[in-house]
Amino acid sequence: MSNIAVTSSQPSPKWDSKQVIPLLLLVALIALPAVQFFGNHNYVIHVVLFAFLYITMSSSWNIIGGYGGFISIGHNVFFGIGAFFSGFIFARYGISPFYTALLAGLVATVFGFAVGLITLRVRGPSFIISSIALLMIFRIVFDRWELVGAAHGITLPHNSLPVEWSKVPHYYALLILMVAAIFLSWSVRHSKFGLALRAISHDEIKSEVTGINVRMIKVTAFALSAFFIGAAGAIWADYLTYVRPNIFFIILIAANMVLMCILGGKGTVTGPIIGTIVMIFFNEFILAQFGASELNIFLTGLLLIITLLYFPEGIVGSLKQRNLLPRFLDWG
Amino acid sequence: MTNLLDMRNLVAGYGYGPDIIHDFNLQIKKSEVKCIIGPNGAGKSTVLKAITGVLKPRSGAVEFEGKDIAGKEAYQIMRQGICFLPQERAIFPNMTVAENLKMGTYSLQDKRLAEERIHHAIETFPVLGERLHQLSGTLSGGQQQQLVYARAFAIQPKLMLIDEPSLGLAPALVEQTFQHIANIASSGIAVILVEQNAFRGLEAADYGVVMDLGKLVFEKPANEVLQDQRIRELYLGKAAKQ
Repeated sequence: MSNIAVTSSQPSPKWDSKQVIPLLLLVALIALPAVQFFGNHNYVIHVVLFAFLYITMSSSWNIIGGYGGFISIGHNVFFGIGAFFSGFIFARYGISPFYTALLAGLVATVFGFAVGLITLRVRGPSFIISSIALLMIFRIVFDRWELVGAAHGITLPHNSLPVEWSKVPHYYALLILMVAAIFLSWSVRHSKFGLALRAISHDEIKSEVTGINVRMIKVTAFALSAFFIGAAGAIWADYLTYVRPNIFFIILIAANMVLMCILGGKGTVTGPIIGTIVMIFFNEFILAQFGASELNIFLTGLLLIITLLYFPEGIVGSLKQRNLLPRFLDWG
Repeated sequence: MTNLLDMRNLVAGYGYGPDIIHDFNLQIKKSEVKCIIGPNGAGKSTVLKAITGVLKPRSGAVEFEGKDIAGKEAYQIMRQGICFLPQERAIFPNMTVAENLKMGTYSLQDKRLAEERIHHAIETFPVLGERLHQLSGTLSGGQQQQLVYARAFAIQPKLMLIDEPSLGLAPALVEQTFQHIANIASSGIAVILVEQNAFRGLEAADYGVVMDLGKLVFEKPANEVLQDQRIRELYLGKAAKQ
């Protein structure tokens, strides 16, 4: 293996499990809403699109938190910014969030860039605290801001589709955002930019003397990680039909992103996906079995502890270390 | 011949603390090797940090190839053709050998040139070629040391700054490391070396620069430095005089 190129040494067969399995999964997900032809399965649609939402967010968070090593527990400010931006436009001008979602992502990105310039000067515990402070500032501002409804937030009109089809637009929008977010995460992981980001997570001084513009790289990564979270916020606002500070600006959403990444393996492409799937479906399973008794929170915590005891680098990270990771999950 | 690096009246220190180096002067020409020696706390490593821009000089001038580089960002200075090997091993243990070599050519825009340089580095250090996809943190000490210098080769700098290359290495590895440094020097790269092990450092250098308390004490051809009476005072204290 004297070749530096990324290509593997063995000749790959025409149908590689690495591409086939994800593609089959994608086709299945595209076809899934067809179940609505056989009765109302809105619960299935809801759980799956909820997973799309969190995979989009945890894969985006992974760019700055996983590759870059900056643990932000205030990343849902971008979710809130996207939701309020598109929600406000919908309520005032009647333009659906489906049209403004990408613009909402862009607003979140620009805002992320500006915030990153300030908060990314510090790292470690100081950065974590600054990210929580950002979230608290947003909560207070939006709780008081009359233009966007203060603590009541904004109520949005419901779409006019029949009930079994009303979730389907959100399903496809979030599916597209999820695929795009995973693609972004994959591209970063395999680019020169991603290499620099991982170097920075190890040691900023060492990276700087390698010729890396450390500040620019980490601020750009922070801004990139905001884009799909903002866009997903816009879609989520339309899905809930209301945007309220006490729903969007709570630390639970950011904590979920972080925990899902850590559970699956932060700094890997497929880690956030696996972590999100495990956490959401486990949580739903417990809810379905035992009802909303808060037992789900307790058992999800227990799951996290036990998993991290045996998979300290996350599920994907640890399996990779032990060379046990199935090929179709090994995306770097 | 003009100076590659010209440092005049440099003053530097950390944070709001006192000045660590005062009025320091250092010049180096192409393909020269200078070794800075001096007791602990003399400010040897600080000089290197001030050149690289990791530490911004408080006053004084630093010129590289006639261009003023004092106060510039470290990454900009590095892209002019300076390579800095900090005290601890200058590799990224969480990356593979191939990725570490790519980091060496990070500032190159030309992809083909970068690949050529990496190939060249692998030819020089064939052991690394067999381990391209291994995490560099799992290499043996000697292999990691090879990787450090392979990366430096890939950068092809005009000036190399090496901070305490023998620190914490087994004796056999120290020899190997100085062999790498000799190879670098013979390829025409100027080297400024900071070394605690004064005897070994001077052996590898053309000139010895002696520092104490942030000041230049004297500079002489390396083979004459050890004979100087002032060296004994610096290392053994005034008592050695009697």
